[in-house]
Amino acid sequence: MSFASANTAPAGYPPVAHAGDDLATLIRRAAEGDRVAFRRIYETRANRLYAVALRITRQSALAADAMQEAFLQLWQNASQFDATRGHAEAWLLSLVRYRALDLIRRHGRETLGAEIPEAEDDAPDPLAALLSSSEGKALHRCLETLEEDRRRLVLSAFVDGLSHQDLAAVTKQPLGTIKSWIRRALQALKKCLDP
Amino acid sequence: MSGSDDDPDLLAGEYVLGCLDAEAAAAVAARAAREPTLAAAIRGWEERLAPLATLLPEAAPPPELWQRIAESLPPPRLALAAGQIRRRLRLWQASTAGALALAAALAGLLLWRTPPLPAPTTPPATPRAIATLTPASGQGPVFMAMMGGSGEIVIASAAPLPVAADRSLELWVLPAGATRPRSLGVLPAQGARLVRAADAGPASQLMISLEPRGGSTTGQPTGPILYAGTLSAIE
Repeated sequence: MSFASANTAPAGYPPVAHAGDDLATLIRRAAEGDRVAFRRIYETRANRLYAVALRITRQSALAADAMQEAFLQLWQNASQFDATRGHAEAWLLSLVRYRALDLIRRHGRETLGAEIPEAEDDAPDPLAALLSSSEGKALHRCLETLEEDRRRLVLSAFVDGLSHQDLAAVTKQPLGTIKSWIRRALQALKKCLDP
Repeated sequence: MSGSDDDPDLLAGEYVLGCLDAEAAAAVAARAAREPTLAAAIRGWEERLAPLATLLPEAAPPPELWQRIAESLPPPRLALAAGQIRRRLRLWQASTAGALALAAALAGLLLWRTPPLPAPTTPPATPRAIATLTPASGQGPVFMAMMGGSGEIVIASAAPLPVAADRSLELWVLPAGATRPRSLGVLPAQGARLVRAADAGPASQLMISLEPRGGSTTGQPTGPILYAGTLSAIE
């Protein structure tokens, strides 16, 4: 998986979230019809979210469609976001991921197979980017407890948006085996993360 | 489907991970809209796995994307008014004369709205079943539906719903035991709509998905299920 270039964000894109950019606050303001707050959400998160959508769809047009649909959903459903129940960043990320996943399931993905991970990245620790946050650190530690092939399945599903069927085709393993490996990996991750 | 159907938490994990096929994923989304436990399990997995998004190098979207998004935004809804209406609907639901009050409420909505509708929208004289279609987030009833004896269903939203100019809300019915939803047509942006679903009955599910303008062209929901609810018989 080519995560090696994780720190090569394009130059000229300043907006790293800072104080005042708390997403839950911005969402609450957007729910009240505040377009400035809504735009700020886009300015501070679009690069991260577009990267996610692009990785899943592999096509810039589809990635842009996923972003547009997700931000429209965000605008329309902002009042339904309950800051006490969910983590705002995870919620917004999910809006984009589900739209991207849905688009590739409907339109197919022409380049499937071309960039499917076959070996771990050359970087010493392709998961090193996780270490920048406390939640990421915990996930990093727990992913490390998984066998390498199981860990790769989890990453390929989440990051590349590969389905059970895609994963079975890529790894040349029976579908049932893939499903059961993923389930066991999920169980292990949950046990490790929610002690 | 798979053995993880028995374990909502594993099913939620598979859903969030993204490895379910389109049909299975849509089924999970529809279930989560009416099962708070499953919705909570999904939120749990979304939070657990979210840090994985930081593994990717950031990528700037096309410069014109923001303009596209900004132009597609509907006017902001009147949050206060919508909230008041929802609270009232909850009161009506809670009242012992629920069915009667609901009929009155829907009739009131129809008069109050006076939308330019070609189809008749008279509520069924003797409602047989009612449903509240709640948003996928699980908060607050937004659509109310009432079914008469011959499958006629009147559905109305509690507040005008902003929908982008290039999108439509489409209503679907999933009769008890059926595996695929059937379209009942596109909903008006506001006001009520009368549809017929001879195969619907108590325990049938009603769902509303976000579709391209004019509705899905595949015969199945293609966008997210935004609202869902189940018809309950009125005794």
